[in-house]
Amino acid sequence: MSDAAAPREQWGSRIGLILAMAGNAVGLGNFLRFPRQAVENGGGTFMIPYFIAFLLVGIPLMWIEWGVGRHGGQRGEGSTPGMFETLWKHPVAKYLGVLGLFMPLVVLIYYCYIESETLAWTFFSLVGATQGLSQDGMRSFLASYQDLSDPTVHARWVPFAFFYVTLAVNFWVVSKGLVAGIERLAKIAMPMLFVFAAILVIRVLTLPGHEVIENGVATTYTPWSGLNFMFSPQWDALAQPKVWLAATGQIFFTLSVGMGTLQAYASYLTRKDDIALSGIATAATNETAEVVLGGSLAIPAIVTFFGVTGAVAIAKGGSFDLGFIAMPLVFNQLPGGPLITTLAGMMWFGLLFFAGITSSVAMATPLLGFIEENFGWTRKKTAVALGVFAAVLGSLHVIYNARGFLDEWDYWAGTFGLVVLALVETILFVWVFGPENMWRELHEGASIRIPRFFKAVMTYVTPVFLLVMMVWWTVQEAVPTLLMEGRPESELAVRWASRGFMVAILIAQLFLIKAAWARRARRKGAA
Amino acid sequence: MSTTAIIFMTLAWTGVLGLMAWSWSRLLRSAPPDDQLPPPGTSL
Repeated sequence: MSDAAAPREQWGSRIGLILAMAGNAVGLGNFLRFPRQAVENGGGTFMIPYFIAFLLVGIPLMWIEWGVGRHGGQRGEGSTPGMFETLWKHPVAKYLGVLGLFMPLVVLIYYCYIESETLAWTFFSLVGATQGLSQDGMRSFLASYQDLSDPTVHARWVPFAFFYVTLAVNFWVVSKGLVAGIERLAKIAMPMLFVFAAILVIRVLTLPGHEVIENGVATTYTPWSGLNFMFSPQWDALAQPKVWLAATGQIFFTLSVGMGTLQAYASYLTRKDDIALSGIATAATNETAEVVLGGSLAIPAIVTFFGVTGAVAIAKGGSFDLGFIAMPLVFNQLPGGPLITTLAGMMWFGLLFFAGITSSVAMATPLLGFIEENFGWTRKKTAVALGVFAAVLGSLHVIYNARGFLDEWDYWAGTFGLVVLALVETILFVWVFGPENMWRELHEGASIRIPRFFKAVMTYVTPVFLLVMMVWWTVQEAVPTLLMEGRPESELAVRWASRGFMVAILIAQLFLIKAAWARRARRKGAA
Repeated sequence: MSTTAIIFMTLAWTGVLGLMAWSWSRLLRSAPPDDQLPPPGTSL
């Protein structure tokens, strides 16, 4: 057990807890990644593996993480090193828990940089900086921000300024504590996110038809053509393993499982608090934001103004092309003039910022809790120290983003690492802790009985699903990515340096865990 | 929109909206006392 002197903080209300948990899950991926994945992986057919993965991996992992977190929190542990040790009394357990400190910290740093771009574009929308730009103009506007290449478009200090402001807001929120900081933010940001998204969906779905010239032929597209494009099934996609993996991956990212953040939030629950129903409510809120709102915004809007061929090309260009180039172009063409363009842009990037910040404050929580509880630092002091650390390392993302610095962190920590942590925690909670203990833990204080079918799913299906996914990704992606196949020579040095920083963070955190446990042993000896 | 697209979209939307409505209604019904408004006239 940790040696924190003060009693652990608790959530102020159940609604606040669910909104904070849902805020953690609802991120940029709900509005940018999901529509792309659906379009690229079979349209409506994508929904079949997507919902199967939601049932067999998403919901079980949600319960597992809430269960691991509350079980650890009851024993004074707010992060995975201590949580894993409460499940498995073995010296190695705490070191396996390093994943739940490493991933959220690494992802937090680059995620705040991406989040800072949504803040920047909210400001650019307000001042009308993107109004009247052509597609090429919009692309250079984004490129010069991301690669600092053209100071005549954006002064070089601009991306740094937005990044530092974003970090300051994030660490100011977490320094306020669980109830006054994170919970209050969730209670403001989540309703606003849903209101902004709902207004934009109504506007998009009521757009008039628009004539688009494709291959010399004029076709009139409406938002419903976009929904048709997104939800029309391509049955042959079901036979492709990559579609199933893409769907499982999307469920993984969208629910923010395998990160260490849900466990950290759940550690502030009491034994009488429900986790069974709360876990489902969190997952369902996230899915509504993704499937209903995220699925009805970008693609229908873009198909209306660019046609199906144009939308496919934009989707293939990536999430930034979708969110930061195509959407502002759509807003420029909305009926109603500059005021409507400004409002739509502010709501779109504002909702992305809210989606981002409610996730990034969650990422700061595990390491913050670990340092507070093990080294006796105050929350404010820890928040300032982590904020400065994130500002220094994050500056490298601002400088080297265009040369693959961020991509490396995103792949190893933000993609591959998530599956590793999910697999480790599933094995520990279900197999080592024991299926009966797991089942009992999930039903402590539960508002509903979880269908017994899920016990078998969590014991056998979820771990096998995760194992298959990890092996597949290792063979298909991790090995070629590790060997930097197809990467231009000019990026190699930056990419290796980026990996070096990640390894250094991992080693430093392993030493922190060692030091924390040595401190605990000394305190126990002195007592 | 094609019929199959409408069916897929309706099923997807109904599924997630239904799950959210069910879970939130259960949640609000079983909310602990600190989530409920105090009786009228209660001094805060």
